Amino acid sequence: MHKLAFITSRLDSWGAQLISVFVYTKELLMMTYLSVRAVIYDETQGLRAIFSVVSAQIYFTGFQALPIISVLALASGSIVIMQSNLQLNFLGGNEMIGNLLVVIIVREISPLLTALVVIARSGTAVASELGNMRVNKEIEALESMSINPLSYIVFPRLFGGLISVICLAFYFTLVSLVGGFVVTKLVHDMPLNFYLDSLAQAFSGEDVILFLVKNTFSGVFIFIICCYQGFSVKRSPHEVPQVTTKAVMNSIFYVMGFNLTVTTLFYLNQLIRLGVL
Amino acid sequence: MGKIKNLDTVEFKNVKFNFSGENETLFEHMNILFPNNKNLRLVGSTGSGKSTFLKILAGLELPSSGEYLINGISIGDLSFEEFTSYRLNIGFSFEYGGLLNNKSLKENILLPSQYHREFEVPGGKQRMHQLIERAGLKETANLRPSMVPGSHRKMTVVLRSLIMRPQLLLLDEPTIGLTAEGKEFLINLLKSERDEGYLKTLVFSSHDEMFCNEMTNTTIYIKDKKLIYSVDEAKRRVV
Repeated sequence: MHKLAFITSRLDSWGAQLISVFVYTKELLMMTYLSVRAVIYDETQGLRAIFSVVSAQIYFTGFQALPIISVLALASGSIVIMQSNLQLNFLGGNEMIGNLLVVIIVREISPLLTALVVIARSGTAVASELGNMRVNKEIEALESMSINPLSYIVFPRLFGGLISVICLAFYFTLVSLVGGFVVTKLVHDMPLNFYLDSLAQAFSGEDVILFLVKNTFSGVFIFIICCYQGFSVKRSPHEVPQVTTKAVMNSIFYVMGFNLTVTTLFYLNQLIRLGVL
Repeated sequence: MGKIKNLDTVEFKNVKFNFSGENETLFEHMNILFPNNKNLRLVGSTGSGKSTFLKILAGLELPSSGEYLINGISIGDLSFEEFTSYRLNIGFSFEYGGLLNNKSLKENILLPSQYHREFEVPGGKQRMHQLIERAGLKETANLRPSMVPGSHRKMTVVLRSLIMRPQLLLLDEPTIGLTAEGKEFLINLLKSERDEGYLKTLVFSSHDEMFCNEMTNTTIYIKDKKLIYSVDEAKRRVV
């Protein structure tokens, strides 16, 4: 009897947690929709004012992140190329280097590391900035001027963030594939033609779709989560670090969860196509 | 949708307010038709809800029950976009804060007219540049709020509330931190807004004797969670 009670209470708790995740996701999607809608339907809104915030967001999230993305891309590209080359040498499958790089860098590492860098740099900044704006009554001030915070605050961060994430991920991929090869060349002789041929044969339309799907999701969800958490501050400044932490945790949770789900579905599909399943 | 030309009637009907998640009622049974061409001073003890009353008038808070009607339309039924056409006729100045910290004082003042470019009052920007100079903000106009004295921040908030030349102006302690010259400037500015026919109704809460003496036509009291119009009744309730 006690065991049954324990099991049902655990199930209740997991069920409640699952429902709260659904409710939270629904609110995030609703906020995304409303912010886009506000820009479209708000007749009096100043598009010029909104796009100046978009460009500032792209500068901060995209341009200013280039140094850290370059270092990460170069390091991870070199590591993956060197390790893959070494292992493939043992197995005698050197021509598979392109496939391995596309699978590891383009499909997995690039979207994931870019998202983590953006969460660490811009996600925290957006959540704390909006939290402080809430405390300083800046959001209320915008409303009092008939400026919809959803179109003036949320949409530019969302749109600018999305563009930045996609561009950064593309830049990450490029630097890790090109830079990684150059670094590897210093320690190990690998013909350029062989490397480029192998990469060209490995690339397919599916890689582009997977790349875009993952980065679009990251771009939208990181910024909508951080805006949502920033707006959740009520009155006190001590709430700001708390919501910032929560924004980071939730962003990582959603990005990791989505990446894992998409990759799993993609490989199940591949297995079905190969007739394994 | 556009800017409503006139705020003919502004009215509270049986308005009750309590903060979300809190059981205690801040005020209830509020019934008032705000008179045109009057300056209404709001009086009440600390925590009586003067600021919240002004925020409800500005549409920043919604009544928990009852109706806030403008031109006979309940604003609770309007979306943000629909309410914009009314709100462009309402100016609001915060007691504390309310300035965008990543913008200079000048950018803060000009933001409403830049955002709502199509509803900008002709010559409004030029006039505001003159006002910035006359208000003594010329030297700090390009600095951010955190880099200027409190009196400049306060003056900026008040000037911003006037840039769209509102018919209904709501000022929450507008003179806190202002110098004597600043107060005089503000009083003259408000009087000229009235004389030029832009400002119809001013509702403010203030403890400043000079400002209150110059600006008050009618006093309304918030006491025992209700609105009281006469001084005698307010005194009787204190006894």
